[in-house]
Amino acid sequence: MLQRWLFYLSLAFKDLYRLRSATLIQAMVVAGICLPVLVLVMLKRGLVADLRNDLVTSPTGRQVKLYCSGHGRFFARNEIPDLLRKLGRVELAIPEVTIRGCTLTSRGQNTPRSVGGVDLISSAAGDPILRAHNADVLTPDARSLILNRHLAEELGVAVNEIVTLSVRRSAGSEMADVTLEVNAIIPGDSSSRVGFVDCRTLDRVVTWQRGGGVSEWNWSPLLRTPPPRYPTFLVVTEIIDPLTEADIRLLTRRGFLVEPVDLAQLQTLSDLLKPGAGDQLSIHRIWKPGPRDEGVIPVAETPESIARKTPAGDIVLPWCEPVEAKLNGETMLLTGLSLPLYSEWFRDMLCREVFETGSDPLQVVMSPDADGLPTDARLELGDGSIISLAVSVANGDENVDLQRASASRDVDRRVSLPVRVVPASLLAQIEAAKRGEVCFDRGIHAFVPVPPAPSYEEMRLYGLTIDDVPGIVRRASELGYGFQSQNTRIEEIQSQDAALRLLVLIVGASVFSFGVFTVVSVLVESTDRKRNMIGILRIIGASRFGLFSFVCLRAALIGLMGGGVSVAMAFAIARLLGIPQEAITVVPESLRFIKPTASAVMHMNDCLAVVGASVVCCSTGAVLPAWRAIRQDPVDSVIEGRFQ
Amino acid sequence: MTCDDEQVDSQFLPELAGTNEFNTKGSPYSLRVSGLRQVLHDSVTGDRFELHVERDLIIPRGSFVAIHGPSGCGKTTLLTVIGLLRCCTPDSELQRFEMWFRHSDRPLDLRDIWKEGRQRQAMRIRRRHLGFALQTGELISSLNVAENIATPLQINGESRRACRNRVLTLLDAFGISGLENRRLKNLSLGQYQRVALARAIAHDPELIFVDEPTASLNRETARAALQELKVLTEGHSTVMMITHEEDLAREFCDLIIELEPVSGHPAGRVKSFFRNPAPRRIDDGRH
Repeated sequence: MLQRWLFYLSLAFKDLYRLRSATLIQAMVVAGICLPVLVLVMLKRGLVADLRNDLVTSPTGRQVKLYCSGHGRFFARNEIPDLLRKLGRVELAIPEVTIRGCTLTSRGQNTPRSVGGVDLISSAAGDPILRAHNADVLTPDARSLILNRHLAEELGVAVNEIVTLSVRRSAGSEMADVTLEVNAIIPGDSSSRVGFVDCRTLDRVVTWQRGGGVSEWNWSPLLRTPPPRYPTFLVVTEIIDPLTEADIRLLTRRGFLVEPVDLAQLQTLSDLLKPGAGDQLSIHRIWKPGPRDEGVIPVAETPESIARKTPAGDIVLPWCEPVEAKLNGETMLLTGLSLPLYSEWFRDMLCREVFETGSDPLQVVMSPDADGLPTDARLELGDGSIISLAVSVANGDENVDLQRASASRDVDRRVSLPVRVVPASLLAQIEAAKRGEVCFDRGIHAFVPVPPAPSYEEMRLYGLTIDDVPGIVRRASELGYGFQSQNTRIEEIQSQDAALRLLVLIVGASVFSFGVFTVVSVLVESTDRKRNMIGILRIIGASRFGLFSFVCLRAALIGLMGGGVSVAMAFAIARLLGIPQEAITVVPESLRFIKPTASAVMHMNDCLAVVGASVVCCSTGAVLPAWRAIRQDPVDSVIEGRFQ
Repeated sequence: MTCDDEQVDSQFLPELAGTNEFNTKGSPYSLRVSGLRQVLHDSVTGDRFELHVERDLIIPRGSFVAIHGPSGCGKTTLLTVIGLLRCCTPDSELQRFEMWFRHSDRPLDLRDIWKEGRQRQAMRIRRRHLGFALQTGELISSLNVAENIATPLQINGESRRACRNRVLTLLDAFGISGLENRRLKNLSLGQYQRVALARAIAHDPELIFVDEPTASLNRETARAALQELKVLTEGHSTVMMITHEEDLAREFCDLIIELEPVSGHPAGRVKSFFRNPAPRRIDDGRH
């Protein structure tokens, strides 16, 4: 079977090769149809490429500057990935951060050189602006810097040398330094002092300038411990002078929920009272409910301000649930108790020393142990932070009572733990740290607010191609962002491209459709000439299908040759058109206008499409004559073939 | 040609089979046709032609048969029918049409193939068992001499080496060695006709149909070509040759089928089928 097919295949090749003069004419007819279409496509591509050239080569061609104005929210760092997914085909997004007026200091050969008034601009790996200067060398989280030439000359530094960046915190005269390595020097305006830094590096500077800390660079935050926020307060009154209905209404009108609470439910408070003191007290718990009863809103009010909201002679205690924590390596139950001012009658009921509201939260009441008075109290938080607490001395007898009282209640493990008293504000800050609102800064040994995620007013986006810019702009506009881009020009070019494509399609389709008739007629005539040969082969036993394949294969080869010839000629035409008129020196200048100069871009896909169409066209064009030839009586074929 | 020679009819078969004159090799005959009426219509002019074979034509294996008669009496038509190139047309009839191939214990009935026009089966029989050399040679102009001769072998799926060996043998046998790579346009008429005969017998067919192989050759060249054909096929393949030249038929053929036109009708019929009393034997050969 294989031998037979090889025979038909070789027959087609030999027929085309040995009768090559006829084959060449047929191939040229096919090329005459393919060539104009291919040249038209090439010229269209050349024209569009000329129009797009500026945009494609410019770093701003596929850039979209996005502004948060109009949307109402800054671009938060952690929301950028989501935003990019919505915008579509974005290759790179660089938040725009500029640190103005900072100082760079080079070590210099003998004496350091400082240059102030430097603007640091955010960039990122793959930034087309830097790539245009072959300076795409920034890497995330590396302390690298790119300088413009003027600034580098002022500093007297070269590539791979170290400079020190000094920035000032706006809230004061506090300065911070960090060393950066100069990775590249780019040309620039001779009057400007500009450096490019990875945007994450600038985020740290901005964070510090806004009062946050940068632990990686040992830059401390501003000491701004936020006021404690308590989930509940206890309103304690003497039983002879309890809260009245009017008091409760007053609190309710101010947004509090009020409920009486039994002292037995506040075991750690009960343990701190002298025996029998609890019987003289009336206690109400007050709190502010969250929206739709979703928990409790911690309130940042002082007990004194709440006490002023009722005319009763009450004492308001900020109250947090006791916290289990390790103190000096031993698990204990911390209970927070801070008394407001003017609470002497309640203080007299307590069996031990407690704290006052507004006092330093980092304290604890400790008792002398077997080795004497502990001088250090190390509190371990769940996140691994260790806080050193100041130790207040408690009366030893009272402490024993407290221990004994705790040990007597072994209802659960938590109740059996030793209890230590800390300021209520410490428990409030620990709860706030669990909620991610504050963190403990070891440098300044205080709770500080967690700095918010970096946010930006502007971003530079780069589409994958310039054709992606209109889509990005459209979606950004739908999301309410302001933008600035080359969108209008790109859309204009795209519309021109679409119009030219339509033109090429119409002309190409017309040429091809009329060309098909020519090809079919050529192949009919060519196949008719083969009728004698087909008749002979059928007489000596060649199969119909084999001969059909032979005729179609032969036609496909003609199509392939025609397509190949048209591609070769198109290539030559493209080269010829590309030569500028001035370069043709052999022709007198007055005659050079004859040769037009135009860009013709040859695209591999176009060539393949034209060759493929040519092969398909010829193969299908041969089907009918091949079918007719193999259906005819072989003897008649031979007899008719004699006269052709 | 006169009719007083020995007439052949159905009794001819046992008579021949019992002698050593023909190499029957277990199959007493190659071809048997009788009761044929083939009607042909010219699709362009609408002309009608009929061929009648009323006699029982039994062709023994290994015989060299001449089909002889004036122009237009149906010689080529008869050859195309028994060569499975034409099938049944309206008003055509056929009583018996058999071929008995070597290594077969019974004849193959071809009436259904003829009646129903089974082209695929006919093509397979032509490919394996039949050889053709038509009137003007009818070689393929885009192939050279060797490729033309090898065509039936390649269609039968023979290997390149087998094809080459067979082609060289045939070129030598027909005295045209050294022409294997020559294009057809560079051949003389005699060489062209020899190539056509070589192609007809290249795949060792059992029945070889030759249509006026010597029409365009001079007497000596024609005689030499026929002698070579006879030497290569004697006692091995059956050759059926159309010829106008009575003396060549008398010289080379064992059996002669004589056709005549039917007067007043566009028709022809078998006039006589007889044994040639004095054919040349191969030991009279050219050497």
